[in-house]
Amino acid sequence: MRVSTNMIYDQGVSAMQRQTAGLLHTGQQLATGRKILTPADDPVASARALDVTQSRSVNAQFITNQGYAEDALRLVEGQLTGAGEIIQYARERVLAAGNPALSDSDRRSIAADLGAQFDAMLAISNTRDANGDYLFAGYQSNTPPFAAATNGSVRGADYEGDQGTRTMQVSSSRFMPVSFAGEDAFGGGDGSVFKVLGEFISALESGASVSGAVSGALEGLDQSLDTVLTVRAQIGSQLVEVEQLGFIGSDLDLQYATTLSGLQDLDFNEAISRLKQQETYLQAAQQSFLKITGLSLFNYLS
Amino acid sequence: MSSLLNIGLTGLNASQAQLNTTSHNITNAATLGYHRQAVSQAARDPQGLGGAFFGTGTMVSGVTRAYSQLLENQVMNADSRRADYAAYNQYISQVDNVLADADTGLTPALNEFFGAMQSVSSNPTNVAARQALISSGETLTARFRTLDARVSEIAQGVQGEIGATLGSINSYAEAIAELNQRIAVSQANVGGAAASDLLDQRQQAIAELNQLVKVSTVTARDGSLSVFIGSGQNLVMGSRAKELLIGDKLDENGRPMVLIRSAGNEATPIAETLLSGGALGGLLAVRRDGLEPAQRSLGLLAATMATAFNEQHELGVDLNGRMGSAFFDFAPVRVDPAGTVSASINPEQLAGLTGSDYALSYDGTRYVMTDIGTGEQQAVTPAVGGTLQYKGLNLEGLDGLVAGNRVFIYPTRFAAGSIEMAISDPRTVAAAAPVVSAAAASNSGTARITDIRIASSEGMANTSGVPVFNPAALTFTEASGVFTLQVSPAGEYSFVGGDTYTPVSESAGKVFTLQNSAGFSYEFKLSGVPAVTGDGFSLSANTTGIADNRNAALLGALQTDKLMFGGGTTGNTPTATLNNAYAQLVAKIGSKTREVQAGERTQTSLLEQAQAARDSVSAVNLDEEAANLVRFQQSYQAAGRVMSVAQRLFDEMLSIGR
Repeated sequence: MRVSTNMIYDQGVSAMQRQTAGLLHTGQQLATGRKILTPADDPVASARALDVTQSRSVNAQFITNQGYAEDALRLVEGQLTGAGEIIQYARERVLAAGNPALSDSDRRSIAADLGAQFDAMLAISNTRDANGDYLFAGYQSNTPPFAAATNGSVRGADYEGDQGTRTMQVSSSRFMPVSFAGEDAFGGGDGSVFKVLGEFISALESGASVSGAVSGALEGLDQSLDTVLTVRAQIGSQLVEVEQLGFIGSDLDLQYATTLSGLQDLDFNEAISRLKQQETYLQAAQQSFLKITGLSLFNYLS
Repeated sequence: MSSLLNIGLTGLNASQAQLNTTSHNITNAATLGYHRQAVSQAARDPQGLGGAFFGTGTMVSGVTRAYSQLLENQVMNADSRRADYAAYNQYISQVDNVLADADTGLTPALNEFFGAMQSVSSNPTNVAARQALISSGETLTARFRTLDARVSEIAQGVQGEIGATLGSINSYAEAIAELNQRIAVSQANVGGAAASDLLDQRQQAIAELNQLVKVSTVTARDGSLSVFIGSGQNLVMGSRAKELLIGDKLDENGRPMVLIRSAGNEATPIAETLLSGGALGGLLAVRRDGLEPAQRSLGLLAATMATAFNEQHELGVDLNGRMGSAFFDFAPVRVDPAGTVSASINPEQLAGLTGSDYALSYDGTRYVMTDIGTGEQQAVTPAVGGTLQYKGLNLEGLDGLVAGNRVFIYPTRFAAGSIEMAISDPRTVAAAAPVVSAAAASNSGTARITDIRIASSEGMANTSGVPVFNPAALTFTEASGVFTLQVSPAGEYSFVGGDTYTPVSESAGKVFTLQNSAGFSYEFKLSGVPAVTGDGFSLSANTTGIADNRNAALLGALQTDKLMFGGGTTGNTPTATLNNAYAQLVAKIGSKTREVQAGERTQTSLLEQAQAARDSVSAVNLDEEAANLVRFQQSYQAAGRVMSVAQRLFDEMLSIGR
């Protein structure tokens, strides 16, 4: 084939340009650590990476929510443990108050003691969390859920919250309850722990014998304790669930990270060896260009 | 003697011509479009003397250029395709870079926004979390606007380059027309011989024109050349050139149309599809098939997200106890000309939106909807009163059209460029739901009401936006294991789609829908077993339930809900989440970019091969010319020697006579 001088230059230059472009591409890959520099490099993997990125971010949000849920549940659990202890103690005092040998003043001092327990219980039921929200108010977190109220001389507390249960999304399909309406935790209406305590205190304060009221009060307190323990049992099982979801969440995160890395990340060994190879090719192209273009018959004409 | 001298002289002349041409080749070795020239020599007519013919020397019979039309055509074909791909690639790769970049892409902003939504859902009373949601909403809307602006900017770049390209095409067309004239004149003067260098210049002008728009040529008898562009549109005819220009006339896509004008005539529009190949073809194609679809996809995404989010947000209650308002603002559906027909997005059929623009025409009997992008046509029939539901749109006023009317509808085209936050006060994020349920304290059964979902909030709120309505009181009657739900006030509430509940088979939960006479309606799920008598529930307005996060959870779920690409005219089977749809856009642009990059590489390599084949025939080889220089120098010297021999012979002759 007849070769023209232009061909020697054109083809040499375009060969060098191709080598340089390849070298630059590999250099950019090495500089960013990414296999895919623009979606055009691998459109399918790019689109998939976007989807996996979202899945990973959603999963991360669930892990955060699991943390929130655990904190909220532990706070409620702590308060309910206290409430259970108060009920246990009140139960002992009620039993003691039933002793026919007690004097009126003994009964009054028990009344004072139970009055203090009533206040402690009220304080627990009106606990606020770190956001300043009342824990047991349902959705009405701005108002204290239990307002002290006396019916004649009988102490009691009215529930002013609602029956709403706050939930947190801890997995794609699980909205976990993290708050318990006051009525669910402390009983409502006639079953309210405040009504039971209030009525018994009122009976004690009258000074008369309370042996008739003791069994009713004990029954009421046992029921309240049951209610508290039921909620605590639910919290306990939810805490286990959160823990398990946490394991699943971190497993998933690792999986997403691995998938993303497989889609996007550069194999450095391969890239460095490719860089070396392309460098060699470019040098060869440059040297052969110089060699070939240096040859001319005119060099020998004088 | 004199003949010897003459023969030597013809040799000298011919050698000189050869040397001239060799030098011409050497000096033009690097000239673009130059074809090497060669002198053809022939023996002069012989002289008959005494029954024999004697040669009379040599003569130059012509100077020809090494030219092959076939090889030139191969180069031109590859080159116009390469230029087409290169122009396409130059702009589509910019969009490609913008879309998937971690700093400019949509996915990170979407994730951040919905993450903030989840935080509000987890801490509905926390104003800082609400503020973070507003801020990430600002970021997300700004991201949409930036992406849209960036694509618009690239489109403007394309527009500018189309204008400049048309200018260059006109210059080449004029140059070719002028060269046609010069070639015709010079050819006539030299008696039909081609002026190689002028032909080269014209060939080069055509080659360069061909990089801008694909051309085909036809040579006339006088040597002038007619140039046709695209699919046969005449651009140069003899010494007359037409002119291409961008006018102020817009096509239905709002793009300025390309016009063609011959001297003294009106400019007429030329169909884009006729202008294929070359940089112009690539530019028009990237505008039509790359940038506009990208922008339409962004608009569709923005409109879908904003509409879905607004709809859900308006079903919630904010920290002030008011019903939520729109969360995002964006440009409404544009109808051109406005007035008769109006259109809006139909939230019920949101997934039916396609991102396409439409032309609605009426011929007096039939209404036809044409997708402007694809040209696909569909006959539509408006309902009585001139309303129509079509692909996620509610259209009204179709009965106001008269025969021959045509309106253009741009549903979501301007959404991405105009989307912004409609609320700025963190307290106005509507995280709560407007209805709460309460079980009567005396309930002895295990029945529970959960999952209240508002279907419509119409008529729920008073003038200050606070949900105010009579509570719905639910009680039960029972007959052989089947409970019937009773609701009061009965005149105000009614069940839609069933009011019976069979705990034996349905105690895991059955969904009921309550409709209020004011217009609002909601669903709730009943589970467990109610006590036959005495059990009851009340469903009432929630105005102070600030720790309620039910609506926030539903808003957060929009991230993973399938909202888009429902297909059909109603879009009832959505197939993609917002992020899926964005990923599809990225994949589409990425694939197109990859395709044109591969195309450009292929055509570049084909071009190099075609050029090598052509240069092998037509281009100068300096070594060859150096050899020719030596060769013709020698033939010149030899011819000179012939003359000096003739001189010597003449001298001999004279000396004989002395």
